[in-house]
Amino acid sequence: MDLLHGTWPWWLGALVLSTLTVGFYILARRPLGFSSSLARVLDFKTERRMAKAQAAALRDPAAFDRALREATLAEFGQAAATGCDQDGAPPAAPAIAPRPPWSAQLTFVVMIAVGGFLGAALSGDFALRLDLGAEFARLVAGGGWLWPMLLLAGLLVGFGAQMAGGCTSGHGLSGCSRLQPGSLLATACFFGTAVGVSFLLAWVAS
Amino acid sequence: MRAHGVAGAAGLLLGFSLSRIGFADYGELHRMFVFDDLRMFLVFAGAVGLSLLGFLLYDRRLFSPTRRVHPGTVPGGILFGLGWALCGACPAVPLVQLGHGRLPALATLAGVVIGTLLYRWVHARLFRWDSGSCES
Repeated sequence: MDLLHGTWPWWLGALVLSTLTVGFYILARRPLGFSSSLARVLDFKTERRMAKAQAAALRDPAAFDRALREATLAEFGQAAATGCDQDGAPPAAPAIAPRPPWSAQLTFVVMIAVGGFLGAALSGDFALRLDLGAEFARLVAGGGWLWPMLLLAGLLVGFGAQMAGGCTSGHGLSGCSRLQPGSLLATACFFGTAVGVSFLLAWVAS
Repeated sequence: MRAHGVAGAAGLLLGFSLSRIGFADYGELHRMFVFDDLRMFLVFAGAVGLSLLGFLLYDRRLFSPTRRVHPGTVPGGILFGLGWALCGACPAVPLVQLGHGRLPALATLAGVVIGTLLYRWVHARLFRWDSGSCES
């Protein structure tokens, strides 16, 4: 078997992806998920503002506590505030680690492209090209229609993944393998739709 | 620094494996979706099965439901699936395609970025649910 050339056999792909999914959780204490990481990178300004506000709040913790209590009272009334003072039952799920800085998410995003480059370069697949292959041209869009089509389809992918709260890594791998109800439903929806649309594309092109 | 190391190693392994599995190739992906070639379905199903086993051995509490169904689950999944079949890229894949030298992936990536930003804008104005995130 050749690990660098051609595509991997299914069991090797499954082994590597599952090692990544579980290994990432154990090392980072949070689930692997690309669409959240991308959203965090794109929202770095909010994060900077929050970090500043938090630093300011931590300089005077007592005043911060008072402000928090007042805001809670104003928003939810007395009942919510008294509830907060009692220690509730410990949560069933283990707490996930605090978020790593957004710059670490940027590292993650950039290294995916580097990993893709290594995969292509080591196997000799790397080539600068202005197309996505013959099948794409035959089934979806050829010539100049390729660019607007990809932009539109990419927009659907980005919008849909955020709306569903995850993508193939977050819902598909991290969520489904922990039998999370939202992930199982979302994964069924995006795989099911992609299968239906692909059959439609093949039917129209034939 | 440790966060950067873990994130960087995970990104590198994810990009490399997606590239070698064939997730960045429109033809491979299409053949999976029309059941002409079940290899990549088996990769996915096998990865979920093995991860389930790994999580079971590691910590059973991880199976308590934290990612619930919300009003965006089904429509979001459908929009994503439609886009996925058309451009052959789930959100991380345009980066892998760029690594392969496929320049049109720049358009896909721009679309994913615009879609992500657009959803944040729309959600803040119209929707009243918590979409969760793939971090929970």
